[in-house]
Parts: sequence; C-alpha cells; structure tokens
Amino acid sequence: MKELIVKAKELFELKIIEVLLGWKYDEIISDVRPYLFKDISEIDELIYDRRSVHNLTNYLPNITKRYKKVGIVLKGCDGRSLTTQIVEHRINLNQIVALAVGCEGVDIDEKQAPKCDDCPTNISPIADYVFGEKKTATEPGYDQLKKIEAMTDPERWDFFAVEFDKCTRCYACRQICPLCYCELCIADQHEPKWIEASAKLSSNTMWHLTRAYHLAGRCSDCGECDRICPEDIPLRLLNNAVEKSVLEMFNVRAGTIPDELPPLVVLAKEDPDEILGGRHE
Amino acid sequence: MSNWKKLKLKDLNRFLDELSSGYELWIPEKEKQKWIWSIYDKTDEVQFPPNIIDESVKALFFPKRRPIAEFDLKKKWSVKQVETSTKPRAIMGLRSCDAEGINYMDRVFLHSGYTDELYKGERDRTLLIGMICDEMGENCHCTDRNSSPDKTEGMDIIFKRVPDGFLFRQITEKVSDILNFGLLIDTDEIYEAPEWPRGRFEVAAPEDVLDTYDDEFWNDVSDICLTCGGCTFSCPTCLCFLVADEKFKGKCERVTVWDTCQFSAYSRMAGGHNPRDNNAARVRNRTLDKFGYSERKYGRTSCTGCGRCVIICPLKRSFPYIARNLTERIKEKKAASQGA
Amino acid sequence: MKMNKEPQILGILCKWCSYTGADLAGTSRFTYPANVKIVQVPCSGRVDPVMIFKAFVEGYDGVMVSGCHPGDCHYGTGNYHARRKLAVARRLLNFVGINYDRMHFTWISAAEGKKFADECTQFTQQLKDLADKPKTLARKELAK
Repeated sequence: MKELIVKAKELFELKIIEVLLGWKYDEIISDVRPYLFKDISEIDELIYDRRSVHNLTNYLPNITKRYKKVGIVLKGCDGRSLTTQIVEHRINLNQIVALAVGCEGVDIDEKQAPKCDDCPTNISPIADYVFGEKKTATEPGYDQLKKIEAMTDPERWDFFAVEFDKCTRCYACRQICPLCYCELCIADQHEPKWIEASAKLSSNTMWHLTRAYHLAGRCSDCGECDRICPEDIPLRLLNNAVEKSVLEMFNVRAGTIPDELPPLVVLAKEDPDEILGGRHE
Repeated sequence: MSNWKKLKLKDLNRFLDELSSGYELWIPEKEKQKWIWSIYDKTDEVQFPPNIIDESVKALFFPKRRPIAEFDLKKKWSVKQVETSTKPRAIMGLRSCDAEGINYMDRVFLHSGYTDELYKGERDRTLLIGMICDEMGENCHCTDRNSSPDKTEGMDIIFKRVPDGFLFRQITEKVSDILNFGLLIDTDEIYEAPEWPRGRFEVAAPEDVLDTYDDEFWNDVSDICLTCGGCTFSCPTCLCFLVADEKFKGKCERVTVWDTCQFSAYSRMAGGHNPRDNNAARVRNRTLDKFGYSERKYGRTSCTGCGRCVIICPLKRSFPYIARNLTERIKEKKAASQGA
Repeated sequence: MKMNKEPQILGILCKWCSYTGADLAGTSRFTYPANVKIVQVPCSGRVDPVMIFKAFVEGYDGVMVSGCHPGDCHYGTGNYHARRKLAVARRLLNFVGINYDRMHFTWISAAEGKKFADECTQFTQQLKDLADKPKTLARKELAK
C-alpha cells in the first residue's frame, strides 16, 4: 500500500488533514491495531492488509470533536457505516478526508471473515481518493443464515436461547458498533425499564432483539459485534436476518448509496399491506 | 519422603468421583476453545489447562445476577432474604491469580466494615484446591504483581501436574481428610519452583500512578478504547454492582447485577449530569482504581496479573499495556523533572 | 400439540380508530373472546417493536396491533411508519423462533366494531391452533 502512504504524507504536508485514522502493526500484541496517526513522521508505519479488520468509523465522532480535519482509511463495509452516520448527522462530512482502499477481504483468526462472502461493495461509497480495484458486487449468500432458517420454530428458539443465555451484558456489541450511539441507550433507561439490567435469558433476549431491530436498514454488516463478542454469540445472524428482510421488502442495502435515508424513516405510502401479513418465505 | 503426595494419572477419575461424593465439585471444562467452570460430571473427560481458565472464578462467589431478597407485591412485609446453599463445595484447578482475586474479594466483601452475608456463605462452604501452572501464558503477568504461579497463599490444597500424575500438598488444616484418600500415595518427588519470567507489565508505585490524574496521557489512551465492559466483566477483582428490583407476575426479587465504570450510565446522576462523560475519564478511573485507589482503600493493588483483560479486549490493547505505557510515562516525567 | 390453556393476547390499539372501533364493538354488543387485553396508544406509529418483544418475553402468547387504515391516520402518516417497522420486527421475531402467526396486524376504523370482534375471535382461534410457544421464553428465572 505504497500509494496510500505517499498520499497520506502529501495530505499531512499540505495540512489537509491534522490526524489520520488507520492501522499500525503493534509489536507488543503482535497484531495490527487501529491507530491515530498524529504526525507525518509516523506515517511510514501505516498498514493496510488482510489483518485490518476493525471498523474505524466508530472512533470518528470522538476524534472529530478534537480535530478539525480527520483522514480515515476506509474499507467497503466501513464506508457504508460512514455513509449512514453522515445521513444521520452524526459526523460532518466536511471534516472527513476518506482514503478508500479496494478491500480484498479481511481475515479473522487467519481465515477469511464470513462477512466478506456477503459483501456488496469492496470500495467505500464515500471516497476522496481510491486505492485499488473495484470488484463487481455479488449477491449475498447468507449461508449461515439459511442454515438457521431451515430449522423449525422451536429448534430456532432453542438455538437462540442457548446463545442469549451466555450473554453477560458487557455491551461490547453496543460500544463497538458505529451505529449504536444513542445518548441514553434504551438498556440504560430506568423508567420505563424496557430491558432489565441483569443478565438472564428474558432480558438478554430483549436486549439482542432490540439491538438487532434498532440496526434495521442501517447495519452495514461490518461484523464487528460478532467478532468481538466475548461469549461468541452469533450476533451477525440477527443482523443478517434483519438486513435480509429489509433487502427483500424495501430493496435497500444500508449505506451503499450516499444521501439515501435509512428505510425505516422513509414514509412509504406505496408499500403493499402484504408485508404485514401472510407468510414470507 | 516429601510433604507431597502423589496421585497416579489413571486414578484421577476415581479421585474426583470420591471427592464429588462429599462436595459439589467444580472443575475447568473446555467449551468451544474456551475454558469455563463447570460442575464435575462423571462422564466427563477431565483436563486441566496449562494456565489460566478463561472464565474468572469470581462468578462462582459473586454471580453476574445474584438474588438477594424476595418479596410479594400483594402481601405487606413479605421481604425474605435469600439464603445460600450450605452444601460443601470444592473448586479444583484454580490458579494463584484466582486465589489473589478471592483474597481481594474478601477484603471488599468481608473486611471493609460491612459483611456481605451471601458472599460469606459462598466463601465458607468452599474449599479451594489450587493448581500450579505448567507454564505462564502469553498474557500472564502475575510475577509483576507480587505473586507467582506457585504461590500457595489462600489455597487449602495445592497440586501440580507431573508427567505421570499429580503431586498434592496440604496447605491449611481445613481439609486433612482429602489427602488421606487411599489413592494418594507417599512419594519422594518434590516440586521445584522454576525461574518464572517477569518484567513484561511492570507498574509504577500507587502514589506515582495517582499523580497522573491530570496527565495528557489519558486522552491518548482513550482515542481507541471503546469503553465496552469486557475487561471489567472478565476481571477477577472488578466487583461493582447495581441493585435492581425485578418482578414477574407479582413475584419480585431484588438482585445485584454486575455493573462497570466503563459504561457512561454508571456515573450518570439523577438529573442527567455525568462526571465521567468521556472515554478518557472512564479509562483513567479504572486504571487508577486498579493500581491506586484500591491500595488506599483495601491495602493492596487489585490487579492480579491474570491477563484476562488482554484476552477479552476487542482491540487487544487492554489494561496491562496501558499500565506499562503509563509506567514508562511516569519514568520519563521523573527523569525530566530530575534533569531540570 | 394444541395449546390447552387460553392464549393471552396483548392488543395495542390506536386511540383514534381501532380503540374507538373496540368501543363500538362493546356498545353494539358484539361478542369476542376475553383473551385480548387492550393497551391504548396515541397512534400506531407509536408502537415501538420493543413493546412487542416485551409482551412476548413477559409471557403473552400473541400480540395484535391495530391502527387506522392507510391514508386515514389522524396524524397523517403514523401508520405508514408503523407498517414498515412492524414488518421488520415480525420477521425478526420469526427468525428467533416466535412464529409469524403470533403477531397480527390489522387496520380497523372507528366504524368497524364488527371487524374488531371478528379479528379477535379469529386471532384467538389461530393461537389455539398453534403449538405451544417456546417454553423457556416466559420468564422461568423467578420460578427456579
């Protein structure tokens, strides 16, 4: 990624950006981790490769508060979450300089991340500079999802009951999600207490359903929640289930088109009533 | 003859069967790449991991959801305190870092002026059978926290894996009967402590750590920290909780639920003011608590060096690293002030 | 396996049309099963799917949501929003094992008392025909 480093240096030199959000190899943890480059001398350490799995847009709101111009290296899925955040006015596009890389897929534990199989765009929809090739989008396969869908209702519930029961409610899924940013999360509200604080099956079910639903039509399937869950709950399944129904019903894939409103805030008079009733296989 | 007794490898299951007849026996079990605590089941194949168990032993004494009282909405004065089981329990295979964690929990729940009866109940019924680690793990750093994998303090019995079995030794008087099981034979073998590696995650003295309260350092650290609660929930000495009333069809419970200083809602006050409303303040609070406030309040720093926070951290950039960087920063500052 | 107890249904009705429709069903003496417990909301657009999740978690067997007919919303557009939200929520619930047929969404105007009674009867029967809801979903923790 030589061009990326050259461009980043140029942007620093011309004072177009104050800081750059990217990845750096960390010897201590012997892995690549997100890093905020503050000085041109550090840029040589900038890395983008298959280990750059993190979604950096989650850090932007904090960083844009402290710096006026922020450069960011974006993969396709990160770009999609950035698009949604800009539509929702969480981030001001004028503060962002987007260095979009042509993503070739990323690895989790040295295997290609499952999200990459369902990727609709390997280049960020928002890009000031593009490095790399655009690949043609494939239809999402949702292999994992289809396995679950093939089960009967009780089987599916049994599957999820086991998974939800493991949850310790550490909210790592909420914190790492670039689109879970309510000032006061519904899980922290006291009156009315929709979601009880204690980690038990009923309130965990409430939490996971609510989390997945709140991401309807917004989730860019960056897979971060799934990756970091300390209890390895397959959160991507829930996200995908919602994503798939939004795609089928409203023909929307979140964040792929800049300036498009998320489907659940769109006033759609033309929707057929059938989406509310009958079976939808 | 040494003060160690030997259990042959083939006798392990018989030994555990015998133990589980008198005790509720908890042992480590591997589930999907992770070591967790589970009750011994005779059909299980028993294994002990070479070093830490991913799940902290904290949850066995202080579960993530713990009912403390029950009451009935329809009846007045129906509050009933929850009582703990009195069945003897043995936890087998815990490590010195777990015992250190229990030591800290004792300080908080038993010796800080108020006794937590439920914790006391769990503690009193429990026998701790510790294991000396085979080797230190990738993220282990107990040797930098005034401990070592073969520290026996706090355990009732300690054992060590050897190629053809296990060596057992009694530490406290509480449990003389177990070591008299016929399966344990006298032996000449003894355990020799190796030189454990150290120096990976050293941390400065508490007063120096507390001095960094206003340092720029915290802003840099928090750039990337998500303030999820992962590290606090996996930590053996993070004991914050929240009290909630939960009801279902007229039956109610008052429960304690794990809470963490990493959530913004933790410090939010009635009226909406939040004294720790940014990541930097929350990360700082946790670090200073581990290496500073706890020393002042309970007489020891609370990090046990188990390294679970590193394993669980989504960014692998967890507290030991922060502590190390902080220590370097303190050294730099000291050098600078001496130079000037 | 058929359900051997009476199903509990939570009805969430919009204030302007469906609740008035339910009133009309009462004043017109239409009979309908007593399984439906009604909650009044200002508009079907107010129905947050969290309410539906909560109802199932608290032990209801079915949830019925009703609002004004599309185009007739007192606030103009509430029911269009409701339609999209509920459609997504319904599929999500089905995905975790709570069948589509446990949720019933209808449009009932203030004049349709008869329709309200019919929908309730029909939905109650539909739930009775379904197999038992996943057992563990109702909160078992307290019973332990």
